[in-house]
Amino acid sequence: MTTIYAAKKIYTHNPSRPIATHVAVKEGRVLGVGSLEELKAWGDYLLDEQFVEKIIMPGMIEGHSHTMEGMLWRHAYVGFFDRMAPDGKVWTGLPSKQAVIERLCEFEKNIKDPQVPLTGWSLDPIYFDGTRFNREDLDAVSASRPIGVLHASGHIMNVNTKALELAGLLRTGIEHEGVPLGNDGLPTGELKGPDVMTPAGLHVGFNEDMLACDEQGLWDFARLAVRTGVTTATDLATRLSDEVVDTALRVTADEHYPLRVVPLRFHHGVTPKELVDQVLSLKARSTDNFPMGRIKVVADGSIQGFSARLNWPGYINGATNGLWYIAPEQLREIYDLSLAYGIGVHTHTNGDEATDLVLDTLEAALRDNPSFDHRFTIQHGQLISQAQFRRMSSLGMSVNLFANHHYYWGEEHYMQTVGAERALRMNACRSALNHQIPMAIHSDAPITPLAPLFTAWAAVTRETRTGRVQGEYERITVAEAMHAVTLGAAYTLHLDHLVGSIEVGKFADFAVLEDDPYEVPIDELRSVRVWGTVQGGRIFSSADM
Amino acid sequence: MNFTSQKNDSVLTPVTLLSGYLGSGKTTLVNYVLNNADGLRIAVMVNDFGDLPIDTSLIVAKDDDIIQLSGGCVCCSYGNDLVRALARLQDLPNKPEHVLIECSGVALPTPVKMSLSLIQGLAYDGTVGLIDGSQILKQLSDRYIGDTVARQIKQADVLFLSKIDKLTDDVKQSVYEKIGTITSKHAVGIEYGSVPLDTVLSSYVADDLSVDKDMKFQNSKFTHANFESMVVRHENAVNLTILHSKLTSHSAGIVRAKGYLYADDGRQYLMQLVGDHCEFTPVNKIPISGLSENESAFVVIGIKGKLLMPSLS
Repeated sequence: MTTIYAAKKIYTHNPSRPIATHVAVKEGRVLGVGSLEELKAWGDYLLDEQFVEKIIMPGMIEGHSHTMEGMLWRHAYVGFFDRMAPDGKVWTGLPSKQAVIERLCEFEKNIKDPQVPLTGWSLDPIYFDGTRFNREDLDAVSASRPIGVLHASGHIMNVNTKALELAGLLRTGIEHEGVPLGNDGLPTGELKGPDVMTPAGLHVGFNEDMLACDEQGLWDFARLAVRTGVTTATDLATRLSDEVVDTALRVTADEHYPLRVVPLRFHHGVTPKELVDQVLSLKARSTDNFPMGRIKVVADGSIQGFSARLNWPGYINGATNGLWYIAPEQLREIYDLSLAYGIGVHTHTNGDEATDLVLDTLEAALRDNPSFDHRFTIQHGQLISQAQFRRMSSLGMSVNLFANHHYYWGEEHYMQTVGAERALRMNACRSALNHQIPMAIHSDAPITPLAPLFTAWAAVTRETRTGRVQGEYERITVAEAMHAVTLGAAYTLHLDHLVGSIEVGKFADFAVLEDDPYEVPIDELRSVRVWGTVQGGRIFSSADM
Repeated sequence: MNFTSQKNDSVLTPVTLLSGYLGSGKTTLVNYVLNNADGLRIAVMVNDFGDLPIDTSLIVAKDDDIIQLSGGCVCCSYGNDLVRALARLQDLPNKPEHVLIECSGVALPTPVKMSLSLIQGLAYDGTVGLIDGSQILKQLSDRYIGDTVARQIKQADVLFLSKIDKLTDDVKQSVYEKIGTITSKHAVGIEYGSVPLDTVLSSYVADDLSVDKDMKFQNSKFTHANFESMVVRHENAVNLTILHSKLTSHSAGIVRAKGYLYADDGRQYLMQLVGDHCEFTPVNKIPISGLSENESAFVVIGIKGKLLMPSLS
C-alpha cells in the first residue's frame, strides 16, 4: 500500500526538485516526491496528514559517532553542558565540582545494592579552572561502593578509593605517567589513558571493550537518534566481534528499531590481511539497517592530549610530537588491499603530519591500485592545510570534519595547543568545500552530543562556548551545513544512492521537524525542534521514545 | 636504580619487552626464544598472531587469543589491551615463569614498561631493542617514523642489530656511528634471531648461578661470537650506589648482570641489572651454597671485547 505524506514543506536535497509538499512511500522506499496531484498517478494511496504542519527533510546522518553513547546514559551524566538523554530529559550542565558531587550523590542514593558501582561520565574539569578531582572527592559520595567517572574526552577516568582497591591499584610502587600519585605515594584516583582505565573500568561499570555496544545501548542510542532527527549513524570504531555482530544484526532487524547503524571495523589488533578478510566476510552478512564492509584506521592521537602528530612548528607549548597508532607500512598494506577489494577506508588524523602520511600513502597505493570512486575519507582532519585540501581533492578523498570542536575546546586550542593561526583553520569547512571535497561534519558522540543540527550551527557560526567567533572565514552556509549532515555523510559511506536525500527509489528516511532549519534565525538552528523520524517508511515520534 | 621493598621475589614474574620497528627481527627472535625455551615456561605476548611462524608441531592447543605450545610455553595476542592480557596471564593454571612482550612496530617501550606496574606480580626485566641494520639509516631519516625509531632506540636497555651480514664495512660503520649519536649503548650484531637467551631473559642468568655452585663459570651457551660472560665474586661489603654506577657505565660493556650482594648496610640483596635499569631486592638468605655470609657473587654478561669488570674495591 502506498502512503502519501503531506507536509508544510519538504526539503528533498535533490537539486532536480529541491522542495515539495508531498512524498509517497511504498515498501519502505520513496515512491515519489511532488504535489498530491502528481503522486496520485501511482494509484491507490492512503493520505497521511499528521505532518501537514511540519517540515520534512532527509533523515540526518551522523558520519562519526560511537554507539557506546547509548550505554553511557544508564549512568550519571556530569558534563558541563546541558545534554538530552534518550528519554528526552535534558540534564542540566554542572558548573562546579560541588555540583558534580551533588549529582553523583543523588544517583548513589538510588542504587540499593551496595555492590553495584556508581558510574558517571562526561566530566570535564577544564571548565572548572583546572580543579582536579581526587579519590577523596568521590569517597565523599561513597566510600564503600566503587565509583568511576569518565571524562568527556573519553581518555581519563576518576575513581574513588574503593575502585582503586578492587583494581589492585591502591598500593605504592606504581610508576606510570597516567597514574598521578599523592603525597602518600598512593594513586590520587585520576587515571589517564586506556591502559590505566581498563583495569579500573571493569570495577566501575564499564565493559572490557568500551567500544562494544550491548543490546540496551543500541536501543538507547537509537532513541537519541530519533530525538535528533538521525536515521543513519556510524559506529566508527568497533572490533565487530561475533557477539557484537550477532547482537547488532538481531537488534537492528527488529521492526521497531529506528536506525541504520553503519559499523566501521577498527584496524587495531589484527594484521592488515586479517582485517580485510574479516571485513569482506562481514560485508556479505550486511542488512539494510546494518551495512558492514568498511574500515576505520586511527593514524595518530588527539590535539588536546598532545598525542596528535603535527608538522613543524609543532605544539605551541613545546610538547614533544605525538604518537603514531599505525606504522606507515601497515597503513599502506591496508590501503592496497582495500583498494583492490573495493573496501572504504576512513582514517582518523588530527595532526597535519598524520594527514600528510595519509596523502602520501594513498597516492602511492593508488598508483599501484588505480581505483575509481574509492571515497577514502579523512575523519577529524582537524588541522588540514590549504595545500593538503588541494591534494585531497586531486586524490579523490572525502573529509568528515569535527565541526563543533571549536565550540567545546576552541579556547584551549587557541591558547594552549596549536595557537591562534592554526586554531582558526581547525575543521576548515569553507576551505574543504572551496576545494570541491565531499564533506560531512560530525559530533564524535559521545565525545560531544549526537545532534547534527547543533553541529551544523557550529559550522555555520564558528562560535566558541564563550560566544567568540573563531575562524570567521571558515564559516559555511546553512544549506551547505544541512547538506553535510545528510548527503555529505552519505557520500563518505558510499550510501548516497540509498539515503541522504528524498528521491524516488531511496529509503524513506526522513527527519520530521517542528521548525524550518532554513528559515529560522541562524542562532536558532541549534534549537530547531525535532518531532521524530521516518526510517525505512516506519514512523517514530520522539514522544514515544 | 630501584630499591624494591621487601617481598618474596620468587612470586614476581619477570617481563622482558621486545621493541623495534617493523622488519627489525622481533618475530624471528620470538621464534628463536620459543624454540630454545629449554623447559622455561615462557609466555610470549604478541599484538597479533598474523606473522608469527610458530612450528605447527609445537602447537598443543589454539583459540582466539592464546596458543599453547608443547613444553609449557604459551603465545597470547593482546590486540588492543595489553594490560588485560597480562592480568589474564596471572590466572593461567600453569603460571608462566617469564613473560616476553613483543611491542608493536610503532610502540614506544617506556609506556609499556610503565603499564607493568599496574599489575601486581610482575617485574620489569628490561627492554631488548632490535634495529634493522639494512634499513636503519633510511628509517632514521624518514620524516614520519624517524623520531619514533630514535625514541625506541633510546628507550632500550639492550640493543641488537639485525640484517647486517650483507652490509659493506663502510655502511656498517655509518650504521654504528649513527646509532652512536642516539645512544651510548653498544648495538650488538645478531643473525637470524640467534642470541644468548641470557641477554634477553634474566631467568636464564639465574640458572647459571645455581648450577655453578663453585662459581667456576663455564658456560657452554656462550658460543656466540659477540658476547662473553664472567662471574664476579667479592669478599667485602659493597656499596650499592657505587656498584650501580660502575655497572651501568657504558664503558663497562655490560648488558645484563644478576646475582646476590652483601651490601655495606649489612643486608643482602638480589641484584638484577639490564642496561641502565637495576633493581636491588632485599633477601633473607642468599640461595647459593659455598658463599659465605659476607660475600657477593654475580654474573655479568657483556659485549665481547668490551666487557670490563671494574674493580669493586
